[in-house]
Amino acid sequence: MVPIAGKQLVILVLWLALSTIVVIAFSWVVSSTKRPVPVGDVQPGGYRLRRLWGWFYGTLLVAAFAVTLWTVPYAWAQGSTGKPALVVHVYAHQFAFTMPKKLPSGTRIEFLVTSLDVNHDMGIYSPQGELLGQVQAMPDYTNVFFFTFPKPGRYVIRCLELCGAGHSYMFQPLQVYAPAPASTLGGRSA
Amino acid sequence: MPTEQMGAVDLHGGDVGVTPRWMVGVSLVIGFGLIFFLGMVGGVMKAAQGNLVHLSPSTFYALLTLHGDGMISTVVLLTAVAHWYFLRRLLNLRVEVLVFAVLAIVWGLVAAAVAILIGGFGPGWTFLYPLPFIGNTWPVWSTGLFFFGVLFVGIGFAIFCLDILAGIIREYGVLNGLALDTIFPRLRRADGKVAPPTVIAATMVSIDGILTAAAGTVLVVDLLAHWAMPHFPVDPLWIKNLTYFFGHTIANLTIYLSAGVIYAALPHYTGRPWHTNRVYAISWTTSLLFVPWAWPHHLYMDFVQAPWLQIFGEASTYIATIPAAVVTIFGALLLVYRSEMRWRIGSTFFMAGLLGWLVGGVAAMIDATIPFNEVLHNTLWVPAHFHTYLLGGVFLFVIGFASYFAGDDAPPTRLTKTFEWVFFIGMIGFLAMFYAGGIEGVPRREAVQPVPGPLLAVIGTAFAAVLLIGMTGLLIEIFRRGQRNGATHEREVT
Repeated sequence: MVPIAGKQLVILVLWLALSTIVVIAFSWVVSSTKRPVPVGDVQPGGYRLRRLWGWFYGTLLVAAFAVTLWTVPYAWAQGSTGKPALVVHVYAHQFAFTMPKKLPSGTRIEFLVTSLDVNHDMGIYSPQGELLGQVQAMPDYTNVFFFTFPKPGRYVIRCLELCGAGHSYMFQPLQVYAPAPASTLGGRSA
Repeated sequence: MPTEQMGAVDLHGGDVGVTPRWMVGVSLVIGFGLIFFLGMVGGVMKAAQGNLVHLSPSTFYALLTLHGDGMISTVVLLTAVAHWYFLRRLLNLRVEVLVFAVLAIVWGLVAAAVAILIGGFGPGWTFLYPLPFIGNTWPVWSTGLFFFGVLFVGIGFAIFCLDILAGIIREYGVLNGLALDTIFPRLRRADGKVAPPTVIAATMVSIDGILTAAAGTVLVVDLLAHWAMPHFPVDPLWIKNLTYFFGHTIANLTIYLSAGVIYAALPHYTGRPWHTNRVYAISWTTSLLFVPWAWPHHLYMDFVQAPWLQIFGEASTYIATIPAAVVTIFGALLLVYRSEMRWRIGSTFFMAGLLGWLVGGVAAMIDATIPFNEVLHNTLWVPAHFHTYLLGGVFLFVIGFASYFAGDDAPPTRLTKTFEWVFFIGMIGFLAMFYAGGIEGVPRREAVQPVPGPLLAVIGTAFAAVLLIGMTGLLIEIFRRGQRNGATHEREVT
């Protein structure tokens, strides 16, 4: 099994916690039918609770939306971090990625990703098997994707978009090595 | 004269030969038959991913396409018919139009099945351009036939939507169909009649459904033109947007069709009426406006997409959940809370479906949050959440409706309770394996999965078998009990 960490851990905890609250609420309502009362006895309180729930839920959504605006993976949202140290072209095609086989860790890389045939998706898996990030590869378009490999190791690039009969076999290793001095990488293209 | 035939004769001035009840009953039989068959197909795919049976990748992707296209079309058929069953009591709807709509959807399904089972067409039910045309293992004719099949499903849904929208306009008008007269006094009718919640839901679904069917038509005509004339230019990003506008919205609308069923059927079990008020008007108008804008969340990882569309897609997805969470589901809980609820198969499945809708909805919202989507997109988390609200939500509503429709109003027996438990255990275990796979980063739509996919698939297969056993037993029991009780709810006004 792949260790659950990072965003995946946050997602799992969030979903389990919210689902548990939902199940408890439903169980409470279901068990309440053992003690029936006329509808007029519960409606006014219910409407008040709905108003509160509506405000609470709405506020929660606005807060979540605001937070995510600052954390989207798009270049325009990541602020000015200077020029990427390395520009890497990725050409996806049935059923491989044409791209460098070795890249440095700790270096902000600008991936220019496109496809030579059908839609693909370039998923980056850590040496432990965690999915760290991804970007689609679409014919006629180039997706600009910034990524920094956190540490050296043997990563896997895997296609995550159904692209034909060989889709399951469209993955390849990527060796990530310890970073070279930044001054030697400035503006380099691979 | 039986009530059913009275409905057909009185409303339309002649016996059409097909009564509404017969039509709904036949549609349910066809639908449940398809669900069982396509569920078996899903089980075989799961078994193949778990290395329990061998399928070539081409066969696997053909079955995947059949399962996806078939299930979505069938769920559209079942929820549309269930909603129509209640609407016909409130609007002047013609059973002949429903017959045409159902026939178009069934023809679309047959065409797709031929393209897949004989032609081997297998780019997935979302058939992203240009995969159907490039480097594929299926013949050219199967591509065209599949597109015609999709076109017919869209036409069938459009016929359904146009007919109910026409009925709403005749009876209430579009604005009052959304109950906007509860907000704006100038719109109020002289007789003070306000659209019931089922009609409000139908107004939203019919308008958004027509938009969706129109988008689907443009999509398929574009692709058919390219199929007939390979030099006909097609833009991959435009087509991808259209594909998800059509595919996401039509799948999503099935839950709103189901909401219309809940509004009509749940009061039968609680003994409490479900009234319209301005909260419902605001809620459903919000759904009408924002549900069609949720599709961009399928394209978050297409970084070339216009930024405003990405952000608006996330905002629309969030906003579209407010009416469901704050009004419909909360309203259902309030209707049930401390009521004299009669716990029957119908009411149990309606409540379980609402729970599934919410749990699947939470998972969907997490996936529709851009930073999370970066590690969830196209993993098993995606089928996890949509199976939760389709299998664990919409399908449960349809089973609840089948029980209601069959007149199965007797308390549950030990046997029915056993089948319910078997069904729910199978379903929860089956869904849990999808979620586990998603968190582990296992890709969706793969004939051969990386670890721990195969192990999860073996466990998932076992739960799928349990689920199918429970479902079959339950449906047989519903039919048998309905036959024995022989009751209908035809005279009830909802």
